[in-house]
Order: sequence, then C-alpha cells, then structure tokens
Amino acid sequence: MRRPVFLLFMLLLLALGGNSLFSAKLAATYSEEIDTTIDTSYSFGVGAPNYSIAFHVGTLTIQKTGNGQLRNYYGLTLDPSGYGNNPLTLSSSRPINGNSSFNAQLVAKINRNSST
Amino acid sequence: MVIDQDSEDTSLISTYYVNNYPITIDFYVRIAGIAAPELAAGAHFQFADPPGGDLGMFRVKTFYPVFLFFLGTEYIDINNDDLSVPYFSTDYTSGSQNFININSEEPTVYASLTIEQTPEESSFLLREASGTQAKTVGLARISLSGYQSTNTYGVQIVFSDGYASQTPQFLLKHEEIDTYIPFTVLFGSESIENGKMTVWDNLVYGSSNTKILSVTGIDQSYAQTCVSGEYSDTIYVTITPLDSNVIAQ
Repeated sequence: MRRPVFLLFMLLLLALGGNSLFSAKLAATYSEEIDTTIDTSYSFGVGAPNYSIAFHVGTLTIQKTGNGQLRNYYGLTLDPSGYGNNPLTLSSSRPINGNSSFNAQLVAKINRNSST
Repeated sequence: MVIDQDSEDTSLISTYYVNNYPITIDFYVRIAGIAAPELAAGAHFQFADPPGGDLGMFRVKTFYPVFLFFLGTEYIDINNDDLSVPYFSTDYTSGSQNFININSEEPTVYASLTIEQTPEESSFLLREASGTQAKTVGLARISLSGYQSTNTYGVQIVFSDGYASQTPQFLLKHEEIDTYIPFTVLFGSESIENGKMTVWDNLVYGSSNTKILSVTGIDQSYAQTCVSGEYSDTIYVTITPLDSNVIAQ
C-alpha cells in the first residue's frame, strides 16, 4: 500500500525538480509596423474572399534565449486584452465606392523556422 | 488565422510540440469591401470609435508538462518585461493625429481648362446683356485625365479683368478710346467677381465638367451715353487644384 504512494511522490519530485534542468527559456520581441501602406491581402499572405486589401500591424518573434536545454512546450496561444473588437470598423478620409466605413479583421500569419 | 478579440484565447499553434524556433507571427488587418489597393490610394484610415476602438493588447502563452497529463502555463516575456503589449503604440483611433495608409498617394490626375466659344458667342449687342439679361459668350470645360479615379475633385478659379478693373465688375473697353462699360460674368448660375476666388468642385474623370459663361449686368442707360463702336475685354483665368494629387494644365 505504501509503495504506490511513494512512487507517486517521487515522480512529483522529479517533475518539479526537473524544472531546474532547463536553463534556456523562451522570449519574444514585438515590433510595431510603422509603414501601414495598404496592399493586397494576397501579397501579405493573408488573402480571403471579400478581404482584398490589408496592412501590416506588427511582428512578434519568439525564440530560445540562454544556453542549455529548453523544456518541451505544447501549443501557443494568443491572449487578447484591452478594448479591441473583431470585426473592426475602419473609417476612411474619403468615400471609396460610396462608403466611408469598412469592416476589417485582425489576422495572424505564423512562420515556424521559415515555414508558414 | 482570424484573431478573435472577443474570446479569451486564440490558438496560434495547437497542442503540438512546439519547436523550430524562431517562430514569427505577423499580424495584419485585412479590410472588407475594397477590391484593390488602387481604390484606397490616398485614402487615410482610422479605427472608428464607436464601435471598434483600436486593436487593444495581447500576450502569448504556452504550455509545458508538469506531471502525468497536467500542463503548466507559461506567459512568454515580450520585449524583456512586458507580458502584455499593444498591437499599436501609435494611436490610430478616430480623431487622433495618426492615420493608417498615410504614405499612400493617389496617382496624379491632370485638370485641363478650356474655354469654348462659337462665332455667335464671340460678339453681341450690349442690350442683350443689359440688366438681368444674360448673354452666353462661351463654355468653360475642365477635363480630368491621367489616373482614372471614381473620386471627385475640385479647383479654385480666379477670373481677372484684362483692363485691371479695380471693382468687382469687369470692364469692356472701346476699340479706340479709353471708354469703359462695366459688366458682370456669370459662371453657370454664379455671379463672379473680378479677382475673387470661386470653387468648382465635384469634378469627375473625363470631359463632362462644363459651365456656361455669360455676360450680364450692363447698365443700358449708361451704355447709351458712351461712344458707339465695338467694346471688348480679355479675361484671365487662373486655376489652382484643391487636391494634392491634381495638377492643373
């Protein structure tokens, strides 16, 4: 009866103690795009029906920092906060096709070591 | 991948083992209802408020095994300390001083003014333009060429009297002696003052922008006291585009 409990305890210790084995960590840099010139959505690689044009918002780069071993990670999740809405509404300084207000979407394009 | 700002999380990479660093995530805003960038050329955008606001902030988290099937959560440091960063530090909300697509310029449009005059319009009897009577003396036409846009444009126009009239009225001069008869120019239905700017807007691509030029306002009782003969005037027209991408020719 005591052996399974002991085994469980040892596994837990190993799991917790294992954290110290990983001296490398993940860190990210984010750079906002200054040039918000509009181009085709397809040229940016985010084309979609009815969403023919787009502009670049910014780039987030996640990479390993430090020496040593990096723990295994599973999944990557974006956690929005603040006051944004999706779909978005953009207003234009002049009418385009008779409209001055346009729906828009925030989208992400992911590249993993040069593969999208 | 559409970012659902209203939900708590958007999975960028599902629960597979994450490797192949670096991982780069580019964010874009794609816009509905505009078929091509050319249509948005020169148009500047802001996030409407309300509704919409701006893009808000975000942080990124990943997961690691703790024990058996249990996963721990790790928020990834962004720019050293910040766990949560704004998509845009620049304020692009409605009413701010900043605009999206500000570097885009609308391709050049050329505005060309011509005055067309038939032989019947080149000379007339003074009484035909006396009082409230108006005599058509020509047709002003502005042709827009170059970039074919569905936008409308405008120009400022100044009509200046060739005999340097110092009053709002223009002057007809006798063919031989310095006798002058004042008159008024009608530009469409608008009365034009000598040397004063008027706006011609809602100009569209092509040559369909026209306004009739007429002469009116001649004081017939005064004209009858003047020396008989032929009177004429030369009017100089200056046009200045109201839009930065328009060049007047």
